[in-house]
Amino acid sequence: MTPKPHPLILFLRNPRTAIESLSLSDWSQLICAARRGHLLSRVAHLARFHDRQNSLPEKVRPHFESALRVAESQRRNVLWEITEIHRTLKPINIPFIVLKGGAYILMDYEAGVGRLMSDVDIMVPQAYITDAERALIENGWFPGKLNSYDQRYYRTWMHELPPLHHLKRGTSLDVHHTILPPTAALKPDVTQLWDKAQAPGTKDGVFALAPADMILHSATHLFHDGEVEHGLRDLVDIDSLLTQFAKDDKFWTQLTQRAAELDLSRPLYYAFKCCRIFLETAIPDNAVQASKTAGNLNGAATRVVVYLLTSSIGAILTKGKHQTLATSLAKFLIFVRSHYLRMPMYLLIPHLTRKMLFANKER
Amino acid sequence: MKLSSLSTSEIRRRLGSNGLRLSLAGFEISICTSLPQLTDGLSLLYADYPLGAEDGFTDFQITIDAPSLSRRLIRPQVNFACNGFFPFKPLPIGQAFAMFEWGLNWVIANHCHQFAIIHSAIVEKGGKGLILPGTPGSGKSTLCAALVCKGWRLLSDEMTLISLKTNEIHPFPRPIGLKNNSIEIIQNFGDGVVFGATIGDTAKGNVAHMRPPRTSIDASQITASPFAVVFPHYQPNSKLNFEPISKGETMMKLAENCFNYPVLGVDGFHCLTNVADRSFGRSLSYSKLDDAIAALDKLFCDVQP
Repeated sequence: MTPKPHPLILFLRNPRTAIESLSLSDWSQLICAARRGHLLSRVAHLARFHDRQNSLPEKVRPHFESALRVAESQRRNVLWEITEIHRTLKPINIPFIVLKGGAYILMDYEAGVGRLMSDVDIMVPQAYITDAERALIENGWFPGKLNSYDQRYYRTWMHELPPLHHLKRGTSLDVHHTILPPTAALKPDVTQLWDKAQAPGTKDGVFALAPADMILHSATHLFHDGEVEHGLRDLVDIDSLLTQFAKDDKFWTQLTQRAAELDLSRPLYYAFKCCRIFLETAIPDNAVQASKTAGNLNGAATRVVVYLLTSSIGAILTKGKHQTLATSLAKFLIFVRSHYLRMPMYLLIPHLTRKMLFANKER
Repeated sequence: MKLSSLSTSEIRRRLGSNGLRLSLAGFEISICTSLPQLTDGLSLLYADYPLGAEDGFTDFQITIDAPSLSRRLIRPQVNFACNGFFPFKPLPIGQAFAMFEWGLNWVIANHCHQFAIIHSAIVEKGGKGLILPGTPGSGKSTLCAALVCKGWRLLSDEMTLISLKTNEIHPFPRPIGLKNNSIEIIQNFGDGVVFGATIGDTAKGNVAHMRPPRTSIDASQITASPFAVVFPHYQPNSKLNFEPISKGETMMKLAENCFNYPVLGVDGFHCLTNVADRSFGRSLSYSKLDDAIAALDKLFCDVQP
């Protein structure tokens, strides 16, 4: 990390101090980086909450007002989308779990306030996935145009259907049946997630993961999906969930034990490390140690992975052309790693080779 | 200090280093480019705009450059980025200035939800705003340019920014983009109008930009009140037809033309109903600019709000 942290990092660590101390030029940098990291609405919410003295600069206010409106409209849209999915799946008795941002909003968690998202993610039991897909297509969610290779890639190797888009509303929907692809080295047991899923109560058959599982899922997503553009936002989610639920030692024990049960100690450890580094999240040492031991992460390779993760997550803090070769390399290695974690080499090498050769044609 | 006070080499230096900072009706924009096409267009058409404030705050950082080194040499292209995000596919390099204009419109329409943003031209006389929404091809920009040539104040030829707090219209005067035949019509219509280079073969045909009057730029901190919402429709060889439309229809058509209506929710509804309620709604079909302008002048002079 650089000696003086980026204004966005200073703000996320301690909004109240940042509001009193940032210069106009810092605010400009902060807004720019927050936009790139899909965090501006979140920042705007935190600023509204923490600006006790009304000391936000005039020039900053319109950006935050605008960003709060975007978040509010997304909240409306997501809740409506969940209503519509429920209307589609309820008659054929298919339950679903809302994942990630949609779940934070559905559960009214603090992490959902100002959380931006580009699509809704749900999980249905694998046995029902074909019926669910048919019902969704009949109700207007259409698969985008994919060639037969991509179709087969999704259906054979991935943990989700190809993304669906609603014809009228233009919204995107990802339907998963587990949280990691069947080819991945880590194999969390999805029935355990269903066992602990919580019902928000208003609609029969609509669920969210239990808080500990949400944290584990977010950690998994962050470190296995290769989408490091959203990395800082995912850390902000995890930080907020930890702050909301880790009120006592019992929670930390539950969380690390649950991670071990689900074979997700590694992503949890990396999430802990990155949350500490970027956001100075208060995480007890014994929780970090427990996840490290359970994940068998004692070698030098672990430190390399942490280094690569922090450089690639930190990439949104610098503008495109100012990114160093090291950052680009780190992003590339994380991308390769995310694929490697999802697929064994005998599947990965032909896949990436094909993607490279046909990249332009298929775009 | 205005842009015209800088030498061409200084403008080029700023564009090529940390960015040329301009203050456009209260928006602080920083522009980076190494392309001469854009430098020329900016120097000519943005000459009367003030340089950005020196307090270090930038609302939007815009970069316009070739997508890659190879695209500088072979079939050169240009790409638009705002805060490091690329909203469009690259265009041929000759369209750099047009891309800057379109890109900046996109930036405002997608990031400034403190306003209800109507896709329309907006001009003002005596503090009273004339909103001219229109689908592409309806002739709104041509009519807007003609009105500006006759002394109406330009607020924008592309978007009406209505504050959700005050329901007043915030100006955002910029070069007026004209297409195909309209370019020559307006060049012959007004005295001393300044045009940038004509850009051929864009998605919209030939495009040229008219420099906004200095008085409109200098007055860009002065808001206007909605007074009339007129839906223009250019129809060759037709007689002038200037008809009232109901408040309800005016409101619905405003909503149709409002870029960010879905984002604004109930606040957008209240804002647009307020505008429709305070304004005269008219449909205007015309073939001669002079007739259309005379009818609008009469509406603005005769009727007191």
